[in-house]
Amino acid sequence: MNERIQQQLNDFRKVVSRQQLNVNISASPSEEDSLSKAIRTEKDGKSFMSDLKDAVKKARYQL
Amino acid sequence: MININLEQIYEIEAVNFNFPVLIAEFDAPQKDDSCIRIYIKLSPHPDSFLLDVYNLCLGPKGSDGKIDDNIRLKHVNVAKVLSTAIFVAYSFLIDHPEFTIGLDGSNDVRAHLYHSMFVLNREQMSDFFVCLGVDWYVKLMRNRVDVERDTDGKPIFKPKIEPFDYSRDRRQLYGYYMFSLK
Repeated sequence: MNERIQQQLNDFRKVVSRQQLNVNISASPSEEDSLSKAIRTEKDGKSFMSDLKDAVKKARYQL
Repeated sequence: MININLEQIYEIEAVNFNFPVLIAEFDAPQKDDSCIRIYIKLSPHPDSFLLDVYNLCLGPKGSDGKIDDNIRLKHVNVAKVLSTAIFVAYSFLIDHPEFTIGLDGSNDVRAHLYHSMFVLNREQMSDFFVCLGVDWYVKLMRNRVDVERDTDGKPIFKPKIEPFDYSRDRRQLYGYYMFSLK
């Protein structure tokens, strides 16, 4: 990682530690999206998460 | 062209990280010389079965107090806005590498944006992330005419995820875009 990005990460963590959110934006959970619509059952969810892990491994291997 | 560069981002003005939701904010200059506060929200995917998937939402505060991610803004530097959002996601993933960030490509404008961002920034994104694409498919029934349908007669779409295929052009958009730490 280059120095510039490392410095930005350090700066970001400092801001996180201050926890200053001036405007109260809703922190409600994200709303249903197109992926939610395709996951109908627990079995679908487990299957997708398994496929996701495999795809991440494959993508890392391809780098 | 949108060049993602994690070294060129807007200054993050404030962050609220009350696990599991992270909200960061920054000011983005607009073409009419105004400046608009933009919020980045990283939050767990609403589907309780997708425990390790996070959604990234980006936009100004809407009248309902939520982030308006449908508004069309005229940013002076779109690349810098997106780079800032990607940087925040990167910071989050460094501390939580088990998660994958999802971007909903359900409307064409967003899908084009995400697709272009991944394709045109393959090298830059690959320095930090692995990128993935999700297609929807329907199961063809044995009669080879009909497709699998629910009780209301609607086709059942299922997700098919794969490492992002960079040979797919903008006529072959994915339905959903994801990235995880490299």
